Amino acid sequence: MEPLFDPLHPEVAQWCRDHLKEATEPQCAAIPLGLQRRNMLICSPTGTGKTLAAFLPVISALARRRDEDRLYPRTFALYISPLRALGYDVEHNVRAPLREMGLLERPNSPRARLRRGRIRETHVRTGVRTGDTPKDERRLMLSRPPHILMTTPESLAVMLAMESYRKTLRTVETVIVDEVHALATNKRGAQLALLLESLAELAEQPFHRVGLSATISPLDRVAKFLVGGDRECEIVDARRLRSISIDVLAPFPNAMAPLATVAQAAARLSQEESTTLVFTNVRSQAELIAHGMAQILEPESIEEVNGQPREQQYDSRIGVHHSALERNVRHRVEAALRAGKLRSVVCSSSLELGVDIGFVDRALVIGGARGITPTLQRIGRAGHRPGAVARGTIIAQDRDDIIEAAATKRCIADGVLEEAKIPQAPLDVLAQWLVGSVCYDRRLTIDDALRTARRAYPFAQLERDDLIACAKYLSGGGVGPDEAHVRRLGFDGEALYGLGREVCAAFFENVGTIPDEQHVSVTLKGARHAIGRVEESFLSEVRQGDVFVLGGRTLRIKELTSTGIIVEPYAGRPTVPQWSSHLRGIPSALASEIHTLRTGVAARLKCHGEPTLCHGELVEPRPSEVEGAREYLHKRYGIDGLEAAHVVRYISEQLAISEIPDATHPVIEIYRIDGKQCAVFHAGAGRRINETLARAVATRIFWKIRANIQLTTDDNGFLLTLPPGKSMHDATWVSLLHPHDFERDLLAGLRSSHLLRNHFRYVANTGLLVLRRAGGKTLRRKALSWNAQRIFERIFAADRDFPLMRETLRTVTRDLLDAPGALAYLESIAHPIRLLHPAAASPFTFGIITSSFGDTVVLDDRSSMVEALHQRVQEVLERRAS
Amino acid sequence: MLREAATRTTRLAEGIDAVAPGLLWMKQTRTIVAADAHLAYEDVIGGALPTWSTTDAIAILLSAARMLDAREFLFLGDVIHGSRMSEGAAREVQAGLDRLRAVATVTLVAGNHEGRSRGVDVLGETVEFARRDGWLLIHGDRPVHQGERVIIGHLHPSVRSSGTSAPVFVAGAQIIVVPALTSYSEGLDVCSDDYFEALQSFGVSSRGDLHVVAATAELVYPLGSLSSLRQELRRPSPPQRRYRRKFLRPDR
Repeated sequence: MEPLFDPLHPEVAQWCRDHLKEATEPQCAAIPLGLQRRNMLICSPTGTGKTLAAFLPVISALARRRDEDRLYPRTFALYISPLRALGYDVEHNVRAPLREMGLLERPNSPRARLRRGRIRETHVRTGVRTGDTPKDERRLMLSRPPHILMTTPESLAVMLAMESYRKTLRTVETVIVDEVHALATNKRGAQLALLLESLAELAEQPFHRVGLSATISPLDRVAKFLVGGDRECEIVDARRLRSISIDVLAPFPNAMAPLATVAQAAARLSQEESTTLVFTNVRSQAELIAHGMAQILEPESIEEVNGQPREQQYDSRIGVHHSALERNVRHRVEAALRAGKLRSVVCSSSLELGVDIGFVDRALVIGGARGITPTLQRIGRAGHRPGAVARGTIIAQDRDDIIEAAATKRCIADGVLEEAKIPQAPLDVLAQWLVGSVCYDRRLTIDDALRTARRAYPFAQLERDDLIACAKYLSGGGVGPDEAHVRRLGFDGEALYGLGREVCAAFFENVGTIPDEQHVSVTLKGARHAIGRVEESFLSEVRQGDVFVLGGRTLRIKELTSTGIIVEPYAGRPTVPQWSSHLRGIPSALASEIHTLRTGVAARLKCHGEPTLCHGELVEPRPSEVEGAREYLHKRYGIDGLEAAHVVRYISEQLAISEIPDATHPVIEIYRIDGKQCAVFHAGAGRRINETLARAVATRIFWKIRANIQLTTDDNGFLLTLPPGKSMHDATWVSLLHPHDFERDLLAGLRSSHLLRNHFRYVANTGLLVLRRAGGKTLRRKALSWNAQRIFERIFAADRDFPLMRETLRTVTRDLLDAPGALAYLESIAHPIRLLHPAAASPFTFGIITSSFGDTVVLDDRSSMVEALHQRVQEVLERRAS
Repeated sequence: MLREAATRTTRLAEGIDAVAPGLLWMKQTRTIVAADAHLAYEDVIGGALPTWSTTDAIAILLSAARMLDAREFLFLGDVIHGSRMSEGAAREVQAGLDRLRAVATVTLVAGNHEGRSRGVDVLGETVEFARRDGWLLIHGDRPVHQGERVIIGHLHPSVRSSGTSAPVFVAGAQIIVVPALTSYSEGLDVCSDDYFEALQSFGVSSRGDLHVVAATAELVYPLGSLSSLRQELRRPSPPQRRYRRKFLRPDR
């Protein structure tokens, strides 16, 4: 072990010998590379010491600088994480070894005061610069820059735009990017890649980059993202280092479990451990599960008193954590979890990333994590200690969840991972970077901008014309032939230049790419501060008097205002089951394994002919067939007992009523419900592809019957519902799945969708077309609520090639949906397509029907709506007259 | 009852017509009334966008003036979206108003969006109200003495159906509400309880006393009384919820 630490500075090496019992695999590989200042991507599960592996060479280099009297008041190492909280955590964790090594400067100590103003320093300073950092700390940071600075991509963008910070960042030697997996696949990553190239331009010497990532694939692509250009990057792959144990539990006797039963199962499991982390897919579900668990584990805390409102007790040992809760509420839960004061915390994906939460015995994943990587991340939060096994249980809510969990287990065992998709040249991010690059009055030629941007991996294929189009728009070029009065920068045809402090304020106030969702606050009646937030759309779904759960509290709506919801505590059953939230879809890698499982079981059940229905009852397959199927499940997926029985019965029922779709053989089932014809397309190519297909197919139906179609999508397929009185022949339904003119049909369907409108809003914000914040505190709330749909329509009509319009379409069709994947699927499917009219709802349709996502493809314009309405009114009038 | 066909204009009250795409025409004084134009909207919200709101509105008004041979343009408040706008956008608004002045007199009634300064830097002189043909014309953000016949804007009346909305006129014996001229407003649903509550502060006591006329770019469509329209558009509950339960029942 010792030779590993020998090349480190003696004080650092001694600390390592004293404190590290045994170096972990990533440490063994990364420390020598770090000392050689090589770019590297360290990919290993949480709790394997990779953060320390990245920092030890940095600390060693700083200690040597001190010895050589070259420790200037400048920043030498930059640590970038996607979460502010993680920055604070890591600073805390780096300060501890620095203190023990005797290298740390204590703020305001007599020694620090004596050194102040001197050019060379004797101790290492750390600091965190995020949006939360108070002004006086920022000022102090400028006069005494931290040698190790923790920040976020957004704060880095601000610092790189400000001359005062640029001076201190010139000396950066090492950049550590934490949680690369959480950045590489989205626009924040694209922004960071550009910023790192700007920093490379600024730096006096090339800095080396260290990426830290939990499970992600493919590593070479992520490594290219990290280093950019044609730089080399070493990969430290220790992904399979930690043992992981996954159980599947199906706590229901029939088809699916009510939430109360799931909560019961979670409560039972959490009683066996001292600390559990319960993950849900939807934020509102986290609330309801916590509520259900509290009813079982702490019934006294939510006792109902004659249905009357009563103040609840909040000293519960069950915490709730999700991003809709106020920051201070979340911090309290994190601190309580760290201190071991909580028995369970129910969260959405908010605790998936590496915020320090102490030791958790077991992770419970409700309904599956909808993916291989998220499952690994969630279960990896348990047993967060070198050598410990990460133990997790997936609690299935229905039979699809059991299959998904089984397929996930198999994928993990096989080392199959979802491929990280890196957004390609997002123009909104480019526009924002251009503005930041010329603040306040710097000048940047188009050639330099193109050269720098192309070195960033997401922008490697950036076209010169796209860059010029962005520059023109930002300089008041407007849309199409019409010019704008508001300019974000100047452009003289060759170079971009800043327009001074006032114009650049727009950049500083709106920096970042995180979608600014419209939320409304939830405030207790009489209280001054909000207790949480819900999506704005929730407002339109509720009425005064409705009861819902937020932050583990049951609340009754007292008043609905334009700015929020006034509530009062209430002890009683929630009347509103859920408020809308993001739902993650199954990726295609997992969908493919699900197909394998289904078809594998079905093949074993069909050895002696198809299972059938007799008088509405399932005729059970032969015991030998069932045994064969169960053995298959046991061997390939490690699924036994009740869970295996569920899967076998589920697939038998589907075979009896309908058929099993596979990767190239979709199944269409036609039903008539409430007088409406509807079709379930079992495509099963993953949620993104299903949703893409659904929108294009809905448009094709619209063109055939001239009526708006309601669509619902889930992981296994999609459901299209025709309006009352409309129907189509079987041949027409089957003819809808073809690749011809697919993109055209998809775009036509998307044009008026909420999806496109919402993302246009985000793209317009990121690309500084319309600002989230303007004029500091002077902008009124009302001015913020700009009409994204109408502006979108106006731009679409004026210039479809407007850069941010193209970017919106790219984001939606490539990042959110998967147009190329859907097209490839349509090209691969076998014909003739199977179409059935099942006598009863086939079991595979239940998931689609209960799926929470729904949108209507509205292609009617305003005139035809008014025309139709006018027609209806006239008919009523004529009826009355006659 | 005879079918009322969609036309370019339709009568709302004695001497007052609704004109597509949402203007009021007062025949006696030959006045075109436009409410809530929200000029320079794109600029005021901080958008690096062309100010289509200004160019579109001026084009609509000039075309209507040509068609009707108008003597006056009367803006019924919220002429501009806000008084904080770039110099270029302000110049464009002023130039647009000058183009209107070249054709007819322009009267600007101030609204709440003009703010305390009443938009004086951009608009010049504005008035708090105007009287034409026996009607009081005000923006409508503040209550008025009841008993007077008023024409107001401010409430952005619209009708919603099939996931989209269209501007409408709401007219009664004592009140006419003019739809917003700006295309950026979704409008407020005239069938909602909140909307009726707002109308009550102008002395309206029954939905049956009001009739609704929808406007599109080319035509206006009489939609009958507000009460019957509301009845027609009312639905008991979202159909999807009922449908889900029924669909899943056989298996439970």
